[in-house]
Amino acid sequence: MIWAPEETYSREEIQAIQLRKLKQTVAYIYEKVPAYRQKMDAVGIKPADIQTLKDLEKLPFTNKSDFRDNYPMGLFARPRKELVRVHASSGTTGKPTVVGYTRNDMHVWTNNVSRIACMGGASKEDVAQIAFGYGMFTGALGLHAGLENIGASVMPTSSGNTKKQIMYMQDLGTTLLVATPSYALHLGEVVRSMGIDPEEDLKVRIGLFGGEGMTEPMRDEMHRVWGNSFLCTQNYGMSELCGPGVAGECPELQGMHINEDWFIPEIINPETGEVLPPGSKGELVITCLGKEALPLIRYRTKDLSMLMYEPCACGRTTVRMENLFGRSDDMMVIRGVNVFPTQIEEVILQIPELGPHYEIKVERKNRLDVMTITVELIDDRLLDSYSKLSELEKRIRKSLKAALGLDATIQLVAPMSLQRFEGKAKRVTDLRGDGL
Amino acid sequence: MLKQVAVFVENQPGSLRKVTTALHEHSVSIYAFNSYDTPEFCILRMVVDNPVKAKEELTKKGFVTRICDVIAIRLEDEMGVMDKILGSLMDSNVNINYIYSSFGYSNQMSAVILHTDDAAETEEALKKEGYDCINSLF
Ligand SMILES: [Zn+2]
Repeated sequence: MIWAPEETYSREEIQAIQLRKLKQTVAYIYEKVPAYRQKMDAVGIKPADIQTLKDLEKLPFTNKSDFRDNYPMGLFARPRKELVRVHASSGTTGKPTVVGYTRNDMHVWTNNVSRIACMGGASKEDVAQIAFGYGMFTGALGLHAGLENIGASVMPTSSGNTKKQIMYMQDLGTTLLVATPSYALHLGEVVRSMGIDPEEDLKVRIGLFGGEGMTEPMRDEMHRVWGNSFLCTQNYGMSELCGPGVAGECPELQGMHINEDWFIPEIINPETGEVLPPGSKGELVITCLGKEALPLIRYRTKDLSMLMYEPCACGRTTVRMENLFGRSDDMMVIRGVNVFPTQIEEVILQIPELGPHYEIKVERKNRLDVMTITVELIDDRLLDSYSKLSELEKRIRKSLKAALGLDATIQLVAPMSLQRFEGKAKRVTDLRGDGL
Repeated sequence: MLKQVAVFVENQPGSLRKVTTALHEHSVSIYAFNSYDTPEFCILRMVVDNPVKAKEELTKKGFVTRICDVIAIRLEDEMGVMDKILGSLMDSNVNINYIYSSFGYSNQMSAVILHTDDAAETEEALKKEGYDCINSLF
Protein backbone atom coordinates (compact mmCIF):
# COMPACT_ATOMS: atom_id res chain seq x y z
CA MET A 1 0.00 0.00 0.00
CA ILE A 2 1.18 3.55 -0.83
CA TRP A 3 0.38 5.86 2.09
CA ALA A 4 0.54 9.32 0.46
CA PRO A 5 -0.26 10.56 -3.07
CA GLU A 6 2.97 12.62 -3.04
CA GLU A 7 4.93 9.36 -3.33
CA THR A 8 3.71 8.92 -6.92
CA TYR A 9 3.84 12.50 -8.23
CA SER A 10 5.61 13.28 -11.48
CA ARG A 11 9.10 14.75 -11.28
CA GLU A 12 7.72 18.18 -12.27
CA GLU A 13 5.11 18.07 -9.52
CA ILE A 14 7.68 17.01 -6.92
CA GLN A 15 10.10 19.72 -8.00
CA ALA A 16 7.38 22.37 -7.88
CA ILE A 17 6.58 21.41 -4.28
CA GLN A 18 10.28 21.35 -3.40
CA LEU A 19 10.95 24.79 -4.84
CA ARG A 20 7.94 26.36 -3.14
CA LYS A 21 8.88 24.84 0.24
CA LEU A 22 12.58 25.60 -0.20
CA LYS A 23 11.92 29.31 -0.70
CA GLN A 24 9.72 29.36 2.40
CA THR A 25 12.25 27.39 4.44
CA VAL A 26 15.16 29.64 3.51
CA ALA A 27 13.19 32.81 4.31
CA TYR A 28 12.06 31.24 7.59
CA ILE A 29 15.50 30.11 8.76
CA TYR A 30 17.05 33.45 7.77
CA GLU A 31 14.54 35.23 9.93
CA LYS A 32 14.45 32.85 12.90
CA VAL A 33 17.87 31.23 13.30
CA PRO A 34 20.71 33.72 13.82
CA ALA A 35 23.40 31.04 13.58
CA TYR A 36 22.34 30.16 10.03
CA ARG A 37 21.63 33.78 9.06
CA GLN A 38 25.26 34.59 9.92
CA LYS A 39 26.43 31.75 7.66
CA MET A 40 24.34 33.08 4.78
CA ASP A 41 25.50 36.64 5.37
CA ALA A 42 29.11 35.46 5.41
CA VAL A 43 28.79 34.20 1.82
CA GLY A 44 26.48 37.07 0.77
CA ILE A 45 23.35 35.03 0.08
CA LYS A 46 19.87 36.40 0.75
CA PRO A 47 16.61 34.38 0.70
CA ALA A 48 15.62 36.20 -2.49
CA ASP A 49 18.63 34.65 -4.25
CA ILE A 50 16.90 31.26 -4.17
CA GLN A 51 14.89 31.16 -7.39
CA THR A 52 15.47 27.61 -8.66
CA LEU A 53 16.25 24.26 -7.05
CA LYS A 54 19.75 24.56 -8.46
CA ASP A 55 20.23 27.67 -6.27
CA LEU A 56 20.27 25.32 -3.26
CA GLU A 57 23.97 24.78 -4.06
CA LYS A 58 24.69 28.39 -3.10
CA LEU A 59 23.59 27.84 0.49
CA PRO A 60 26.09 27.01 3.23
CA PHE A 61 26.20 23.53 4.76
CA THR A 62 25.05 22.71 8.27
CA ASN A 63 27.34 20.37 10.19
CA LYS A 64 27.09 18.25 13.30
CA SER A 65 29.46 20.78 14.89
CA ASP A 66 26.78 23.49 14.48
CA PHE A 67 24.65 21.54 16.94
CA ARG A 68 27.57 21.36 19.33
CA ASP A 69 28.36 25.07 18.99
CA ASN A 70 24.72 26.01 19.55
CA TYR A 71 23.98 23.46 22.27
CA PRO A 72 21.33 22.82 23.41
CA MET A 73 18.68 24.69 21.41
CA GLY A 74 20.50 27.47 19.55
CA LEU A 75 19.44 26.19 16.13
CA PHE A 76 15.76 26.12 17.08
CA ALA A 77 13.39 28.50 15.28
CA ARG A 78 10.60 28.31 17.83
CA PRO A 79 10.52 29.09 21.56
CA ARG A 80 10.47 26.23 24.01
CA LYS A 81 6.79 26.69 24.83
CA GLU A 82 5.80 25.80 21.26
CA LEU A 83 7.60 22.47 21.37
CA VAL A 84 5.55 19.37 22.13
CA ARG A 85 8.44 16.90 22.02
CA VAL A 86 12.19 16.94 22.56
CA HIS A 87 14.56 14.11 21.62
CA ALA A 88 18.31 13.74 21.71
CA SER A 89 20.85 11.50 20.10
CA SER A 90 23.80 10.39 22.15
CA GLY A 91 27.02 11.63 20.70
CA THR A 92 30.03 9.35 21.02
CA THR A 93 31.81 12.23 22.71
CA GLY A 94 30.54 15.15 24.75
CA LYS A 95 27.03 16.54 24.73
CA PRO A 96 24.10 14.95 22.91
CA THR A 97 22.42 16.51 19.87
CA VAL A 98 19.08 17.95 20.99
CA VAL A 99 16.16 18.14 18.55
CA GLY A 100 12.58 19.36 18.96
CA TYR A 101 9.15 19.22 17.34
CA THR A 102 6.11 21.49 17.21
CA ARG A 103 2.69 19.87 17.05
CA ASN A 104 2.73 20.26 13.29
CA ASP A 105 6.25 18.76 13.07
CA MET A 106 4.95 15.73 14.97
CA HIS A 107 2.13 15.34 12.48
CA VAL A 108 4.49 15.49 9.49
CA TRP A 109 7.00 13.15 11.15
CA THR A 110 4.36 10.58 12.02
CA ASN A 111 2.99 10.52 8.49
CA ASN A 112 6.45 10.25 7.00
CA VAL A 113 7.11 7.20 9.18
CA SER A 114 3.72 5.76 8.16
CA ARG A 115 4.82 6.01 4.54
CA ILE A 116 8.03 4.12 5.31
CA ALA A 117 6.17 1.45 7.30
CA CYS A 118 3.75 0.89 4.40
CA MET A 119 6.70 0.74 2.00
CA GLY A 120 8.14 -2.06 4.13
CA GLY A 121 4.89 -4.02 3.93
CA ALA A 122 3.15 -2.96 7.16
CA SER A 123 -0.62 -2.59 7.39
CA LYS A 124 -3.32 -2.19 10.03
CA GLU A 125 -3.39 -5.99 10.36
CA ASP A 126 0.07 -6.05 11.90
CA VAL A 127 1.13 -6.65 15.48
CA ALA A 128 4.27 -4.53 15.70
CA GLN A 129 6.90 -5.24 18.32
CA ILE A 130 9.22 -2.28 18.79
CA ALA A 131 12.53 -3.60 20.07
CA PHE A 132 14.35 -0.29 19.72
CA GLY A 133 15.41 1.29 22.99
CA TYR A 134 12.85 3.92 24.01
CA GLY A 135 14.02 7.04 25.81
CA MET A 136 15.55 10.08 24.14
CA PHE A 137 16.36 8.14 20.95
CA THR A 138 14.01 9.08 18.07
CA GLY A 139 13.84 5.59 16.55
CA ALA A 140 11.46 3.88 18.96
CA LEU A 141 8.87 6.64 19.36
CA GLY A 142 9.09 7.52 15.66
CA LEU A 143 8.23 4.00 14.49
CA HIS A 144 5.76 3.72 17.34
CA ALA A 145 3.73 6.72 16.17
CA GLY A 146 4.00 5.89 12.47
CA LEU A 147 2.79 2.31 12.95
CA GLU A 148 0.00 3.32 15.33
CA ASN A 149 -1.07 5.88 12.73
CA ILE A 150 -1.64 3.20 10.09
CA GLY A 151 -3.65 1.18 12.58
CA ALA A 152 -1.18 -1.55 13.51
CA SER A 153 -1.23 -2.88 17.10
CA VAL A 154 1.94 -1.50 18.63
CA MET A 155 3.84 -3.31 21.40
CA PRO A 156 6.50 -1.05 22.93
CA THR A 157 8.74 -3.83 24.26
CA SER A 158 11.84 -1.61 23.99
CA SER A 159 15.24 -3.29 23.61
CA GLY A 160 16.86 -5.94 25.76
CA ASN A 161 15.48 -8.78 27.85
CA THR A 162 15.62 -11.11 24.88
CA LYS A 163 13.76 -14.00 26.54
CA LYS A 164 10.81 -11.73 27.33
CA GLN A 165 10.81 -10.36 23.78
CA ILE A 166 10.46 -13.93 22.54
CA MET A 167 7.70 -14.65 25.01
CA TYR A 168 5.66 -11.68 23.75
CA MET A 169 6.46 -12.65 20.21
CA GLN A 170 4.97 -16.10 20.83
CA ASP A 171 2.08 -15.17 23.10
CA LEU A 172 0.87 -12.00 21.40
CA GLY A 173 1.52 -13.13 17.84
CA THR A 174 3.99 -10.47 16.69
CA THR A 175 3.94 -10.13 12.90
CA LEU A 176 6.30 -7.17 12.52
CA LEU A 177 9.60 -6.56 14.25
CA VAL A 178 11.29 -3.16 14.59
CA ALA A 179 14.94 -3.43 15.66
CA THR A 180 18.49 -2.75 14.62
CA PRO A 181 19.62 -5.45 12.17
CA SER A 182 22.23 -6.70 14.63
CA TYR A 183 19.67 -7.10 17.41
CA ALA A 184 17.21 -8.78 15.03
CA LEU A 185 19.90 -11.32 14.16
CA HIS A 186 20.69 -11.90 17.81
CA LEU A 187 16.98 -12.35 18.62
CA GLY A 188 16.70 -14.84 15.77
CA GLU A 189 19.71 -16.79 17.00
CA VAL A 190 18.22 -17.04 20.48
CA VAL A 191 14.83 -18.06 19.03
CA ARG A 192 16.54 -20.88 17.11
CA SER A 193 18.64 -21.95 20.10
CA MET A 194 15.40 -22.36 22.07
CA GLY A 195 14.28 -24.90 19.48
CA ILE A 196 11.70 -22.50 17.97
CA ASP A 197 11.43 -22.47 14.19
CA PRO A 198 10.36 -18.90 13.29
CA GLU A 199 8.67 -20.03 10.08
CA GLU A 200 6.63 -22.76 11.78
CA ASP A 201 6.12 -21.52 15.30
CA LEU A 202 6.02 -17.71 15.02
CA LYS A 203 4.04 -15.21 12.96
CA VAL A 204 6.84 -12.69 12.42
CA ARG A 205 6.85 -11.91 8.69
CA ILE A 206 8.07 -8.30 8.42
CA GLY A 207 11.22 -6.65 9.71
CA LEU A 208 11.59 -2.87 9.67
CA PHE A 209 15.22 -2.28 10.45
CA GLY A 210 17.09 0.90 11.15
CA GLY A 211 19.53 2.60 13.48
CA GLU A 212 22.42 1.13 11.50
CA GLY A 213 22.91 -0.04 7.94
CA MET A 214 22.20 -3.55 6.71
CA THR A 215 24.46 -5.03 4.04
CA GLU A 216 23.13 -7.55 1.50
CA PRO A 217 24.95 -10.52 3.07
CA MET A 218 23.41 -9.47 6.39
CA ARG A 219 19.98 -9.56 4.77
CA ASP A 220 20.76 -13.09 3.52
CA GLU A 221 21.74 -14.01 7.06
CA MET A 222 18.43 -12.54 8.26
CA HIS A 223 16.59 -14.86 5.87
CA ARG A 224 18.56 -17.85 7.12
CA VAL A 225 17.55 -17.03 10.68
CA TRP A 226 13.96 -15.76 10.22
CA GLY A 227 13.00 -17.74 7.13
CA ASN A 228 12.95 -17.12 3.41
CA SER A 229 9.55 -15.46 3.29
CA PHE A 230 10.59 -12.85 5.86
CA LEU A 231 10.29 -9.41 4.25
CA CYS A 232 13.09 -7.40 5.77
CA THR A 233 13.65 -3.82 4.76
CA GLN A 234 15.74 -1.06 6.18
CA ASN A 235 14.87 2.56 6.60
CA TYR A 236 16.89 5.67 7.05
CA GLY A 237 16.81 8.73 9.19
CA MET A 238 18.70 10.58 11.86
CA SER A 239 17.48 12.64 14.75
CA GLU A 240 18.77 15.93 13.30
CA LEU A 241 16.54 15.43 10.24
CA CYS A 242 13.50 14.28 12.30
CA GLY A 243 14.41 10.69 13.23
CA PRO A 244 13.19 7.76 11.14
CA GLY A 245 10.93 8.70 8.24
CA VAL A 246 13.45 10.18 5.80
CA ALA A 247 13.71 7.17 3.50
CA GLY A 248 12.87 3.48 3.38
CA GLU A 249 13.04 0.40 1.20
CA CYS A 250 10.04 -0.97 -0.66
CA PRO A 251 9.73 -4.72 -1.45
CA GLU A 252 11.71 -4.18 -4.68
CA LEU A 253 14.79 -3.75 -2.46
CA GLN A 254 16.41 -1.39 -4.95
CA GLY A 255 17.40 1.40 -2.58
CA MET A 256 15.44 3.54 -0.16
CA HIS A 257 12.70 5.93 -1.35
CA ILE A 258 13.23 9.40 0.05
CA ASN A 259 10.17 11.40 1.14
CA GLU A 260 11.11 14.07 -1.35
CA ASP A 261 8.31 16.50 -0.65
CA TRP A 262 9.86 16.93 2.81
CA PHE A 263 13.56 16.31 2.17
CA ILE A 264 15.80 17.39 -0.71
CA PRO A 265 18.81 15.09 -1.06
CA GLU A 266 22.12 15.99 -2.67
CA ILE A 267 25.30 13.97 -3.13
CA ILE A 268 28.52 15.87 -2.66
CA ASN A 269 32.21 15.19 -2.81
CA PRO A 270 32.98 15.07 0.93
CA GLU A 271 36.38 16.68 0.44
CA THR A 272 35.47 19.61 -1.81
CA GLY A 273 31.76 20.06 -1.06
CA GLU A 274 31.04 20.03 -4.79
CA VAL A 275 27.59 18.69 -5.81
CA LEU A 276 27.89 15.48 -7.85
CA PRO A 277 25.53 14.41 -10.67
CA PRO A 278 22.92 11.62 -10.16
CA GLY A 279 24.54 8.20 -10.13
CA SER A 280 27.69 9.39 -8.33
CA LYS A 281 28.76 8.04 -4.98
CA GLY A 282 29.42 10.58 -2.29
CA GLU A 283 28.23 12.09 0.96
CA LEU A 284 24.50 12.50 1.41
CA VAL A 285 23.39 16.05 2.22
CA ILE A 286 19.76 16.66 3.22
CA THR A 287 17.69 19.83 3.34
CA CYS A 288 14.57 19.54 5.48
CA LEU A 289 11.51 21.29 4.06
CA GLY A 290 8.82 22.88 6.18
CA LYS A 291 10.18 21.95 9.58
CA GLU A 292 8.99 24.45 12.16
CA ALA A 293 10.98 23.80 15.34
CA LEU A 294 14.32 22.88 13.80
CA PRO A 295 14.69 23.90 10.16
CA LEU A 296 17.85 22.48 8.64
CA ILE A 297 19.52 23.38 5.37
CA ARG A 298 22.09 21.23 3.61
CA TYR A 299 22.85 19.02 6.57
CA ARG A 300 25.94 16.91 6.04
CA THR A 301 24.94 13.41 7.12
CA LYS A 302 28.43 11.88 6.72
CA ASP A 303 26.65 8.87 5.21
CA LEU A 304 27.91 7.71 1.84
CA SER A 305 25.30 6.88 -0.77
CA MET A 306 24.13 7.48 -4.34
CA LEU A 307 20.82 8.79 -5.78
CA MET A 308 18.67 7.01 -8.37
CA TYR A 309 15.87 9.00 -10.03
CA GLU A 310 14.38 6.23 -12.20
CA PRO A 311 10.78 5.40 -11.19
CA CYS A 312 10.50 2.19 -9.19
CA ALA A 313 8.54 -0.96 -10.04
CA CYS A 314 6.58 -0.51 -6.80
CA GLY A 315 4.78 2.48 -8.33
CA ARG A 316 6.57 5.19 -6.38
CA THR A 317 8.34 7.95 -8.28
CA THR A 318 10.36 9.37 -5.40
CA VAL A 319 14.14 9.29 -5.70
CA ARG A 320 15.88 6.32 -4.12
CA MET A 321 19.13 6.43 -2.17
CA GLU A 322 21.43 3.46 -2.56
CA ASN A 323 21.81 1.49 0.67
CA LEU A 324 24.62 3.07 2.61
CA PHE A 325 28.17 2.33 1.60
CA GLY A 326 29.20 3.31 5.08
CA ARG A 327 29.69 6.47 7.01
CA SER A 328 32.54 8.74 6.17
CA ASP A 329 32.99 8.80 9.98
CA ASP A 330 33.39 5.01 10.13
CA MET A 331 36.12 4.97 7.55
CA MET A 332 39.43 3.80 8.93
CA VAL A 333 42.73 4.53 7.29
CA ILE A 334 44.92 1.49 7.77
CA ARG A 335 48.40 1.59 6.27
CA GLY A 336 47.13 4.32 3.99
CA VAL A 337 44.20 2.25 2.72
CA ASN A 338 40.60 3.42 3.25
CA VAL A 339 38.62 0.67 4.95
CA PHE A 340 34.92 0.57 5.84
CA PRO A 341 33.70 -1.96 8.41
CA THR A 342 30.92 -2.88 5.96
CA GLN A 343 33.53 -4.18 3.49
CA ILE A 344 34.85 -6.51 6.16
CA GLU A 345 31.33 -7.56 7.07
CA GLU A 346 30.56 -8.51 3.48
CA VAL A 347 33.58 -10.81 3.38
CA ILE A 348 32.81 -12.47 6.70
CA LEU A 349 29.16 -13.07 5.90
CA GLN A 350 30.14 -14.90 2.74
CA ILE A 351 32.14 -17.51 4.65
CA PRO A 352 29.63 -20.16 5.79
CA GLU A 353 31.89 -21.59 8.50
CA LEU A 354 31.67 -18.31 10.41
CA GLY A 355 28.86 -16.68 12.37
CA PRO A 356 27.60 -13.20 11.39
CA HIS A 357 29.15 -11.33 14.31
CA TYR A 358 32.64 -9.87 14.27
CA GLU A 359 34.96 -7.41 15.93
CA ILE A 360 37.69 -5.32 14.39
CA LYS A 361 40.67 -4.12 16.37
CA VAL A 362 43.27 -1.78 14.94
CA GLU A 363 46.51 -1.12 16.77
CA ARG A 364 50.01 0.02 16.01
CA LYS A 365 52.92 -2.36 16.47
CA ASN A 366 56.44 -1.23 15.57
CA ARG A 367 54.99 1.82 13.80
CA LEU A 368 52.85 -0.42 11.63
CA ASP A 369 49.05 -0.62 11.66
CA VAL A 370 47.84 -4.09 12.56
CA MET A 371 44.22 -5.09 12.09
CA THR A 372 42.84 -8.07 13.99
CA ILE A 373 39.43 -9.43 13.09
CA THR A 374 37.75 -11.70 15.58
CA VAL A 375 35.11 -14.04 14.22
CA GLU A 376 33.00 -16.83 15.62
CA LEU A 377 33.56 -20.34 14.37
CA ILE A 378 30.28 -22.21 13.90
CA ASP A 379 31.12 -25.22 11.70
CA ASP A 380 32.21 -28.30 13.67
CA ARG A 381 33.75 -30.00 10.61
CA LEU A 382 36.78 -27.77 11.06
CA LEU A 383 37.64 -29.57 14.27
CA ASP A 384 38.89 -32.61 12.34
CA SER A 385 42.35 -31.12 12.26
CA TYR A 386 44.39 -28.03 12.92
CA SER A 387 45.16 -27.84 9.24
CA LYS A 388 41.47 -27.33 8.44
CA LEU A 389 41.36 -24.47 10.91
CA SER A 390 44.46 -22.87 9.50
CA GLU A 391 43.12 -23.32 5.95
CA LEU A 392 40.01 -21.44 7.03
CA GLU A 393 42.14 -18.71 8.51
CA LYS A 394 44.10 -18.47 5.27
CA ARG A 395 40.87 -18.36 3.26
CA ILE A 396 39.50 -15.47 5.37
CA ARG A 397 42.76 -13.56 5.03
CA LYS A 398 42.84 -14.12 1.30
CA SER A 399 39.25 -12.88 0.84
CA LEU A 400 39.94 -9.83 2.98
CA LYS A 401 43.10 -9.13 1.05
CA ALA A 402 41.13 -9.31 -2.20
CA ALA A 403 38.41 -6.99 -0.88
CA LEU A 404 40.55 -4.48 1.01
CA GLY A 405 44.05 -4.89 -0.31
CA LEU A 406 45.17 -5.37 3.29
CA ASP A 407 46.40 -8.20 5.41
CA ALA A 408 44.65 -8.92 8.68
CA THR A 409 45.20 -11.20 11.63
CA ILE A 410 42.29 -13.54 12.19
CA GLN A 411 41.23 -14.65 15.61
CA LEU A 412 38.76 -17.50 15.84
CA VAL A 413 36.55 -17.69 18.89
CA ALA A 414 33.69 -19.89 20.05
CA PRO A 415 30.11 -19.15 18.95
CA MET A 416 28.16 -16.61 21.04
CA SER A 417 31.38 -15.36 22.64
CA LEU A 418 31.45 -11.94 20.97
CA GLN A 419 29.35 -9.19 22.48
CA ARG A 420 25.77 -8.84 21.19
CA PHE A 421 24.21 -5.40 20.88
CA GLU A 422 20.66 -4.35 21.58
CA GLY A 423 21.10 -1.09 19.71
CA LYS A 424 23.68 -0.02 17.24
CA ALA A 425 26.54 -2.51 17.12
CA LYS A 426 30.00 -1.27 18.11
CA ARG A 427 32.39 -3.47 16.21
CA VAL A 428 35.52 -1.37 15.80
CA THR A 429 38.15 -0.66 18.43
CA ASP A 430 40.90 1.66 17.30
CA LEU A 431 43.79 1.57 19.78
CA ARG A 432 46.11 3.75 17.74
CA GLY A 433 45.27 6.81 19.82
CA ASP A 434 45.77 9.36 17.09
CA GLY A 435 42.68 8.07 15.31
CA LEU A 436 44.53 8.10 12.01
CA MET B 1 35.90 -48.06 15.98
CA LEU B 2 36.11 -45.66 18.88
CA LYS B 3 34.29 -42.30 18.90
CA GLN B 4 36.26 -39.21 19.80
CA VAL B 5 34.77 -35.87 20.84
CA ALA B 6 36.64 -32.76 19.69
CA VAL B 7 35.85 -29.33 21.19
CA PHE B 8 37.02 -25.90 20.08
CA VAL B 9 38.49 -24.19 23.15
CA GLU B 10 39.91 -20.71 23.39
CA ASN B 11 43.35 -20.34 24.92
CA GLN B 12 42.36 -18.70 28.19
CA PRO B 13 42.60 -19.63 31.85
CA GLY B 14 39.55 -21.68 32.82
CA SER B 15 38.34 -22.54 29.34
CA LEU B 16 39.08 -26.27 29.62
CA ARG B 17 37.39 -26.25 32.98
CA LYS B 18 34.16 -25.05 31.37
CA VAL B 19 34.19 -28.21 29.26
CA THR B 20 34.84 -30.56 32.16
CA THR B 21 32.18 -28.81 34.27
CA ALA B 22 29.59 -29.19 31.53
CA LEU B 23 30.40 -32.90 31.20
CA HIS B 24 30.50 -33.48 34.94
CA GLU B 25 27.10 -31.80 35.41
CA HIS B 26 25.60 -34.35 33.05
CA SER B 27 27.56 -37.34 34.42
CA VAL B 28 29.61 -37.87 31.30
CA SER B 29 32.92 -39.59 32.14
CA ILE B 30 36.19 -38.79 30.40
CA TYR B 31 38.52 -41.71 29.67
CA ALA B 32 41.20 -39.99 27.66
CA PHE B 33 42.01 -36.47 26.55
CA ASN B 34 44.67 -34.32 24.98
CA SER B 35 45.38 -30.85 23.75
CA TYR B 36 48.51 -29.20 22.38
CA ASP B 37 50.13 -25.84 22.95
CA THR B 38 48.75 -23.57 20.26
CA PRO B 39 48.70 -19.78 20.45
CA GLU B 40 45.05 -18.68 20.14
CA PHE B 41 42.84 -21.71 20.56
CA CYS B 42 43.06 -25.45 20.78
CA ILE B 43 41.11 -28.51 19.82
CA LEU B 44 40.46 -30.50 22.97
CA ARG B 45 40.10 -34.15 22.03
CA MET B 46 38.51 -36.64 24.37
CA VAL B 47 37.15 -40.12 24.63
CA VAL B 48 34.05 -40.19 26.84
CA ASP B 49 31.47 -42.79 27.78
CA ASN B 50 28.59 -40.98 26.05
CA PRO B 51 29.82 -38.96 23.04
CA VAL B 52 26.32 -38.08 21.76
CA LYS B 53 25.28 -36.63 25.09
CA ALA B 54 28.62 -34.85 25.42
CA LYS B 55 28.12 -33.16 22.05
CA GLU B 56 24.55 -32.25 22.87
CA GLU B 57 25.39 -30.66 26.22
CA LEU B 58 28.52 -28.89 24.99
CA THR B 59 26.68 -27.49 21.98
CA LYS B 60 23.99 -26.14 24.30
CA LYS B 61 26.73 -24.35 26.21
CA GLY B 62 27.94 -22.76 22.98
CA PHE B 63 30.92 -25.01 22.21
CA VAL B 64 31.61 -26.12 18.67
CA THR B 65 31.84 -29.89 19.10
CA ARG B 66 32.54 -32.69 16.67
CA ILE B 67 32.44 -36.46 16.92
CA CYS B 68 34.79 -38.50 14.77
CA ASP B 69 36.27 -41.99 14.49
CA VAL B 70 39.61 -42.85 16.00
CA ILE B 71 41.53 -46.11 16.26
CA ALA B 72 42.18 -47.57 19.69
CA ILE B 73 44.44 -50.52 20.46
CA ARG B 74 44.71 -52.16 23.85
CA LEU B 75 48.07 -51.54 25.49
CA GLU B 76 49.48 -54.61 27.23
CA ASP B 77 51.87 -53.95 30.07
CA GLU B 78 55.00 -55.31 28.43
CA MET B 79 58.31 -54.00 27.22
CA GLY B 80 58.41 -52.64 23.65
CA VAL B 81 54.67 -52.76 22.99
CA MET B 82 54.45 -49.21 21.55
CA ASP B 83 57.48 -49.82 19.38
CA LYS B 84 55.81 -52.92 17.94
CA ILE B 85 52.52 -51.14 17.19
CA LEU B 86 54.26 -48.21 15.54
CA GLY B 87 56.47 -50.58 13.60
CA SER B 88 53.43 -52.36 12.23
CA LEU B 89 51.87 -49.06 11.17
CA MET B 90 55.10 -48.03 9.49
CA ASP B 91 55.25 -51.33 7.63
CA SER B 92 51.71 -50.72 6.42
CA ASN B 93 52.67 -47.22 5.35
CA VAL B 94 50.09 -45.55 7.63
CA ASN B 95 50.70 -41.94 8.59
CA ILE B 96 49.54 -40.96 12.08
CA ASN B 97 48.02 -37.49 12.43
CA TYR B 98 48.06 -37.55 16.20
CA ILE B 99 48.32 -40.04 19.00
CA TYR B 100 47.50 -40.12 22.71
CA SER B 101 46.65 -42.65 25.35
CA SER B 102 43.90 -43.35 27.84
CA PHE B 103 44.30 -43.70 31.59
CA GLY B 104 44.48 -47.22 32.90
CA TYR B 105 42.17 -47.62 35.86
CA SER B 106 41.16 -50.97 37.21
CA ASN B 107 37.74 -51.11 35.54
CA GLN B 108 38.89 -50.07 32.12
CA MET B 109 41.67 -50.96 29.80
CA SER B 110 44.47 -48.64 28.86
CA ALA B 111 44.82 -48.02 25.19
CA VAL B 112 46.69 -46.07 22.59
CA ILE B 113 44.38 -43.81 20.55
CA LEU B 114 45.41 -42.67 17.15
CA HIS B 115 43.97 -40.72 14.27
CA THR B 116 44.80 -41.36 10.64
CA ASP B 117 43.30 -40.09 7.40
CA ASP B 118 41.43 -43.33 6.79
CA ALA B 119 40.39 -45.09 9.97
CA ALA B 120 38.87 -48.11 8.20
CA GLU B 121 42.01 -48.73 6.18
CA THR B 122 44.19 -48.40 9.29
CA GLU B 123 42.01 -50.84 11.15
CA GLU B 124 42.33 -53.32 8.31
CA ALA B 125 46.12 -52.96 8.24
CA LEU B 126 46.37 -53.47 12.00
CA LYS B 127 44.15 -56.52 11.84
CA LYS B 128 46.57 -58.12 9.37
CA GLU B 129 49.36 -57.49 11.86
CA GLY B 130 47.37 -59.26 14.54
CA TYR B 131 45.98 -56.30 16.47
CA ASP B 132 42.34 -55.98 17.46
CA CYS B 133 41.00 -52.47 17.44
CA ILE B 134 38.63 -51.83 20.29
CA ASN B 135 35.50 -49.71 20.23
CA SER B 136 35.14 -49.08 23.92
CA LEU B 137 37.54 -48.27 26.72
CA PHE B 138 35.46 -49.84 29.47
ZN1 LIG C 1 9.93 1.15 -4.82
